[in-house]
Amino acid sequence: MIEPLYFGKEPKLLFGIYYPPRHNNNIDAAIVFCSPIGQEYMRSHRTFLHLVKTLALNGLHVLKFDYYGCGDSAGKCEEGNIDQWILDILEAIDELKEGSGAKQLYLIGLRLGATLALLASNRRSDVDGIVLWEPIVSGINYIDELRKTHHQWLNGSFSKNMSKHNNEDEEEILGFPLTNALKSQLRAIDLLTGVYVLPANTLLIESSTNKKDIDCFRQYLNEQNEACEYVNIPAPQIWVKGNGESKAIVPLRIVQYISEWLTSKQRAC
Amino acid sequence: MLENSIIFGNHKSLVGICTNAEGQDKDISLPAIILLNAGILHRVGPNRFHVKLARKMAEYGFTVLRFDQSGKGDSETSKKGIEFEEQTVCDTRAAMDYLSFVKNIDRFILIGICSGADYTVNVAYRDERVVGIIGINGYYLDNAILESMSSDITASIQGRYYRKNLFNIKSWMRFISGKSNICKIWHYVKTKIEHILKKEKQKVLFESDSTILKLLKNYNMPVLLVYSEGSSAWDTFQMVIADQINNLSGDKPVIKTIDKTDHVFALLESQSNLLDTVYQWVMNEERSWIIS
Repeated sequence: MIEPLYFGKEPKLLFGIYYPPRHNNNIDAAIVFCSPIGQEYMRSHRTFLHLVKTLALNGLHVLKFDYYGCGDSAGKCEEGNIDQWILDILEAIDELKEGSGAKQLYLIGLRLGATLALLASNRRSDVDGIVLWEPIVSGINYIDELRKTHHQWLNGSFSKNMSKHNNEDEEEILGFPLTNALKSQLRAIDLLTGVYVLPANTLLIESSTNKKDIDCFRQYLNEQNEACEYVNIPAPQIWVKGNGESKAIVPLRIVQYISEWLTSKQRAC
Repeated sequence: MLENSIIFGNHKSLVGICTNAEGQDKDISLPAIILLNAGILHRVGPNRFHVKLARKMAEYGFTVLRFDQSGKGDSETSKKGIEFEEQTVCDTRAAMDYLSFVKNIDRFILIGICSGADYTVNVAYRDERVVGIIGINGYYLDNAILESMSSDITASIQGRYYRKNLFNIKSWMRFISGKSNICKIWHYVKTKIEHILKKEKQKVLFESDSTILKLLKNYNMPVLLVYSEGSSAWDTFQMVIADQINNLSGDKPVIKTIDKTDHVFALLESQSNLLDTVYQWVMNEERSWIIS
């Protein structure tokens, strides 16, 4: 049976749901899910849930959790920030390792969640693998992309005349605040300049067809002699609001690929 | 403020978060508030609105439960094989049973957005423990009726949008530069012309077609209906419900509209306006609910 729980330290309690393995197939691995933020979190929740259940069915311990100031966790939306969210991932890793007793630990992240997972994995040595699904490579480009989507969505909406929130100091993106503190932390994200140590098993997933950032990131990793497996699986951008596609879409090919990749890694062990 | 994760229902398959003000965990003089899923979104609600609302109401002293109905969010899909609407009623009653058992509360206010608003009415009609409902952008019509009206509803909301922007220079600039959605404009013009040529009248609906009208006719309970300006639910209300509400005997529902916002209150200011609207109404009605 699944176990919803609050963990971490007061007053920054984090909400998570632990999905135990649905059957024992001698897999001794645990997975922490790292969500995107804001509207992207809302839009990808259903897909993550599908993936979580698939992995639990395959015999893995899984923890899906919300960062501070996001989802069901404590804190207001405007209190969330990159440093805090990395600490939250580390906290979630400890919680899952302690609760499950699993020896191997993997992180799965989508969009900013993938970037946070990578940054968190570089702070400890016990992350055995990581799945980076459309990671945010450049924080500056990410902010531009969010703004563009926000303005596209406002165009043709009854909300468009409320433009006073669109100034630099009091900005909001698709229903969630984008504080100055968060903006400056996002702007500092540039995966093409840092030195990253990738876990032994790293999978990079690209699901859109026109992402220069991901190509540059792959090239950068090659230059750094950091090995990662790469796959391009075209699929709808489930995290985008207002792209005309249903919120109910789950990119099953990607879910299947991640599930099989993780299972193959376990067999190899 | 205390937030507890819970798992409940006959098969322990429903997941929810119970929010209480600290030190008021056993205050049963007030009814509890239950927040129902908006469409397929999970229990945090659109733009995390349910979390904000739960915390604000809990600060005042209400016990608030927001949970995922069967097959939504983290709750398991029901194996009973019953109709979805029926399952929603069962799940919400299970939530009420849980709070009755654990918190000793036996009166409930239901709040829902979009399809969640429809569910509040369905449950209130079936369970006398419901003492008030707040429906936000609800349609309160059978899906088949709603489908048959979809062209009228779309034309209505588009008409309101174009009238609102008739004197907006930016809108005209977009139109002239070809950036406007011509398909939408054409659909609106075509529907209007068709109506004039055929002298079509809007579909005649009966009081019994609308679930909210049926509820209001049969039960006397405080009801708040909130609509956002940019929601087609507001057009449906005007076309189907507005006139007939005036003919009702007894207490009438409170109707509030929130300007300059879309169906899911995506801008922060509109979320804040909605929060205040709901809170103020609950405060006004509070005396009728308190057990002395």
